[in-house]
Amino acid sequence: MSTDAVKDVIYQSCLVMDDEKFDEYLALCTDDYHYKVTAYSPELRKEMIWLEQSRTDLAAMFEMLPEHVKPEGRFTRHAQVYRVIPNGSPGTMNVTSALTIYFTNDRGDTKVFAVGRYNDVVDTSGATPRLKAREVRLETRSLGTGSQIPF
Amino acid sequence: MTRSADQWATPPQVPHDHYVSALVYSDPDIFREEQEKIFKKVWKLACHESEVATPGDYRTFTYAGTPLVVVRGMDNKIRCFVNTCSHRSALVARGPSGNAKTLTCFFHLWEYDTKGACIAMTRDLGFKEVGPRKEEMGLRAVRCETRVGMVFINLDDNAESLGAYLGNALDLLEEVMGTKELEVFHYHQVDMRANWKQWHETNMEDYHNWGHVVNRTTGMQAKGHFERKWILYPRGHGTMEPMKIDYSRYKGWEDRQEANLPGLRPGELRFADLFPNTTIIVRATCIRIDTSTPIGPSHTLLEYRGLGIKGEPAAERAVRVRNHNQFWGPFGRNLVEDVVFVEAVEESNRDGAAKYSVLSRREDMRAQDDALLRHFHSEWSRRMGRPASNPLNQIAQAAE
Repeated sequence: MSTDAVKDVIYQSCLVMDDEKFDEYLALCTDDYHYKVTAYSPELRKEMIWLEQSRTDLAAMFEMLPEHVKPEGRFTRHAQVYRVIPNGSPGTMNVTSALTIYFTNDRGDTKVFAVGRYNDVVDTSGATPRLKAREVRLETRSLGTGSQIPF
Repeated sequence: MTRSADQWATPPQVPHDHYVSALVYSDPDIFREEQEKIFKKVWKLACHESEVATPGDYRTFTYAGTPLVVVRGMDNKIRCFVNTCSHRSALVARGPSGNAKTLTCFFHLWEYDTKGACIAMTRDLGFKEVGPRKEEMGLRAVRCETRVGMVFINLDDNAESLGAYLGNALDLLEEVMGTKELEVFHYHQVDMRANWKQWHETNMEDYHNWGHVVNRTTGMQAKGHFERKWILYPRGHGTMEPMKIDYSRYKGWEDRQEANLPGLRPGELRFADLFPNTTIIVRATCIRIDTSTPIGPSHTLLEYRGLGIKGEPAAERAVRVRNHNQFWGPFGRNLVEDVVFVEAVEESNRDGAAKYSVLSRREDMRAQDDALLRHFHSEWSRRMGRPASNPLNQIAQAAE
């Protein structure tokens, strides 16, 4: 499978999440997809997990999103794939991407919301690449209101 | 029926202690006065003792405009100092945390031991002629006491003890937080565009839970939710009778039957709100502590901590982290909503569009009674020497 095809699944995941097309996002993921958001706390001098979800968890979360009060606006994810390398297991690749997330409020003001990386495992064993695992590794720890929508 | 501008500015026709003026949230002079009369006088949560678990561990923070450092001394005692070098006022400890056998100022390398004594002045021969002597140049000590693992500080040397200040306000949490050694596994901050009191009011108001879909589908469906009674303590603290919640009513969540913290029934909720700005919430498997640092009338730094049992199996810790994050992490279902609520209130308060905030709900001290809000503002009024309903004495209030 080509590196470009692997990159495409990363970029596609950003586009469908920006558009809040959650079913299309899940369609990009394997059944055993594992998603988490992590950050390091200099205050605690510890690693932290801020969100950890299976594909089933995410599906339930997405279903409930319309019921919640959310900040008025939308997120834009900007990813740049830096590295695509075999991860040692057959049919999987490790993909590292730089990530910037912007938030545009309903008045049109845009601010950088967070920076970090996607550390992804992509399943390349099928006809099309699919996300098998994603770690959103955040450098930004002060996220304002926060977000019910994962990155 | 709508109201005219004059009618809008007229105080609500309820007792004076059942509403507050919006000026208490927005007036810069009142904010400055709060710094002197409240924040520099009362006990403030600094951190959890697990954040300074080892001798030499320190945590820094700024409160009431004062840089502070909490240190676990080489003698294992936890102390607090103003984090300012006695020489030329540089910060002594830099960064949010660390470990050091002595604290050395990076500017001119003056050195302090973990009891705050100055133990070395670089090239001290220059101070021989007129002084000062190092024995006179220790760090400024700050009152520091611990309760159920929580480290509190007080900038007032003459303040009453932490025990006297808290009274019985933490009794409901004593077994939960005092039986096994706890540790903080989660920390994050929120830079919030709102007044500190608005945040704490939300913590103290069960009525706001109508705004949370999680609470509408879980806690508010639980037997006895509306019948629980507030318990008020002197000095503006409060709590409420515990209750059990079935969290599996929210889609995708488990029922929290396992990994409950000491002394709790499965799914049990307990909390305590401490004056002026700290709340501890226990939701069966996990604990959240939040506290705030007021920065300006419309600007508050919130701090959130999540706690589990120190040394517990990884599987149990994972449950606690998961349950914590469901509600309270930066991606939690409720925390985002609370910040959105409070910042929306601030938009009305900031420039005077709002005139009053109504705290008049009475339900015989039951859950959705505004009793703790009134209790808080009674303490605020007492300490400030101003009624929260009329803080600048702008309106003539009839005697009750």
